[in-house]
Amino acid sequence: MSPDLALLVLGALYALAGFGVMELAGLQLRSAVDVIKTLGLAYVVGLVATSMVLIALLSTGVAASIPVLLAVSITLGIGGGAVGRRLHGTREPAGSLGTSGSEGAPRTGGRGLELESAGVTIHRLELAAATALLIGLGVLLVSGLRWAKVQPLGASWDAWAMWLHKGHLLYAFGHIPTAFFTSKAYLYMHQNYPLLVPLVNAEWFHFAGFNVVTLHAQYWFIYCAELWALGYTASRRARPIVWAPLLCMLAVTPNLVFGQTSLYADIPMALFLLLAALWLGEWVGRADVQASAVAPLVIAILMLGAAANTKNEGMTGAIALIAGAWVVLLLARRRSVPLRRLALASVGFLAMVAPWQLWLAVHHVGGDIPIGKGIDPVYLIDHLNRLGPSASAFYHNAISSGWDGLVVIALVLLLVGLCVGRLRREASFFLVAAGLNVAAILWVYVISPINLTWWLATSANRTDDGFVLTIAAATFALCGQMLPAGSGGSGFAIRLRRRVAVRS
Amino acid sequence: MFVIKGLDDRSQFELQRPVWAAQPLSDREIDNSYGINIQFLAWARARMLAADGDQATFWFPDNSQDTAIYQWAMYQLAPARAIERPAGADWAVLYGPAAAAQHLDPEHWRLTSFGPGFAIARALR
Repeated sequence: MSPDLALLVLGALYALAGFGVMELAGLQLRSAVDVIKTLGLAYVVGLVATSMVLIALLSTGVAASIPVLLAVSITLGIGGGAVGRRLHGTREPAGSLGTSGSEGAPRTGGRGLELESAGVTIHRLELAAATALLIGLGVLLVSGLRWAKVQPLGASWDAWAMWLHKGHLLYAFGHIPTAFFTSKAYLYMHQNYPLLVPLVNAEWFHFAGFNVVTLHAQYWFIYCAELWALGYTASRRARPIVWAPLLCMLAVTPNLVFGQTSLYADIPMALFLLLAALWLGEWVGRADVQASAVAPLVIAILMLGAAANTKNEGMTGAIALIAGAWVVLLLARRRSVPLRRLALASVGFLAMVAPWQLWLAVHHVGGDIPIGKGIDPVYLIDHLNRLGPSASAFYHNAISSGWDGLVVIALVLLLVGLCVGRLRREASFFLVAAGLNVAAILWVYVISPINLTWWLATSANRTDDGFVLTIAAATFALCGQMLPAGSGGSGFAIRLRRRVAVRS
Repeated sequence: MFVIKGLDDRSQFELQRPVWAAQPLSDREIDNSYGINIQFLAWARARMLAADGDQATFWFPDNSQDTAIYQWAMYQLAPARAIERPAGADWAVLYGPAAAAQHLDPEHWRLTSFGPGFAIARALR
């Protein structure tokens, strides 16, 4: 199959599955415009949902072949949609802005959610400026496919040593070739790392042949879908003149562009965390108002499962975000409904990471980080001299030019958010999650037996990716709420809308 | 400012595109930053897979201690599988002069040379 056709076929399968899962979660698509707006999110949700199912199947010995992918995508797409329509009476309209704070109490219908329609009036000039920015970004992204399709493998050690190698094995054998994942001859490829990226690679090879050059196009396509999904997610709570420039700025951030096309797993993992943080932040921010709205929580947990199934750093990043939600809700003494939902979501997360972890346990495949020793105070004190260099490397990479000052902007916004009552809960959530993420990464650097100088030199420019994009989510979440919503808004509140009134 | 910088970085890709497109696909599928003899590995892989399919196993005496060579060889020779000892391996892949100088009992191995310092040996059973 030609690379162009493979992009479209795989994209259609992911989007089909994604729309089904979104219906199941309660996100309603009322019109063709809704479908277009959520197409990127559907692609990402579908990619994630099919991958979770296929990883579970692989872990139980079932081959991840084209027929299995087709069956899973169609089942999720058609079955999920049908069950979703039956399950939810009136659901959350896909195009609506969510509520922030207690304004605009939702009207519930059935087990789903109907938001009040409130007017955020958007000036024609604002809409035109945002549209122009998005068109420009779209042109850049589409033209990017031209070079992605011919890009050489280049000097991407981890890409070929780990991710492409494992993807090739899944493609060649269909199932997990145990002998490769348990042999000391292949210790270097981090046999315990999760399977999402190798699976994505293998799916590409099934459709486009074993071609690592055109695989870059698939990664670029995924990047475009994730930006699209991010734009839609941000648009639920912020006005276009806020989220569109932020999206453009993020899209051309060097670390993202070059990281995504290096075929490493770090940026894909971090982008899952970004989307998860934004959806979970939205849910935490309004958990007391809309206890019945589960769609943001479901999508957040799916993204967290994807991050945890992409890299071990994704696992720590995901746990940090879930812990952040727990801390904030418990401290805010929320009612029991949001806590019950969060407990269920946490169980859902565990269910997504369990299959691969069980496979590793059954086959006695371990990692090179001595987790057990890491909680021994004597061992920790003995290795405390590793903390300073690790923290320094982390700090310098997080504020490096490769991130375009994203961290500084986000931290300033978070501090402002802490001072504003309406934003405090969500700002606290992002700060707690980001803090736990940093702590977990530094803890791993401290307890590891690996030579620290070498390890920092080869990894520190990537291990901060999850942290940076977690607080980048705060930029989208808080920025939108800090700016007045025009004549339809009041103060810091962005009010709900279902229709945008264009005022001439 | 950030956007302009990002666009500038991206334009490097755009300028590279015709250069990349003009290269043969086989050159673009490899990471040749380490001066690895990929022609030999391709030749060895083809012979192993032709004889034993994806069940082929090989022993790769890592005399060079060069991690780039070792890991790239594992990648390029897949789905043939490396095993740690010669006993039980279908093949020995002898990469580099040190490995090629390895003494293999001719009663148990049939040696085929690719060129100076590079050879494979088929286990005789």
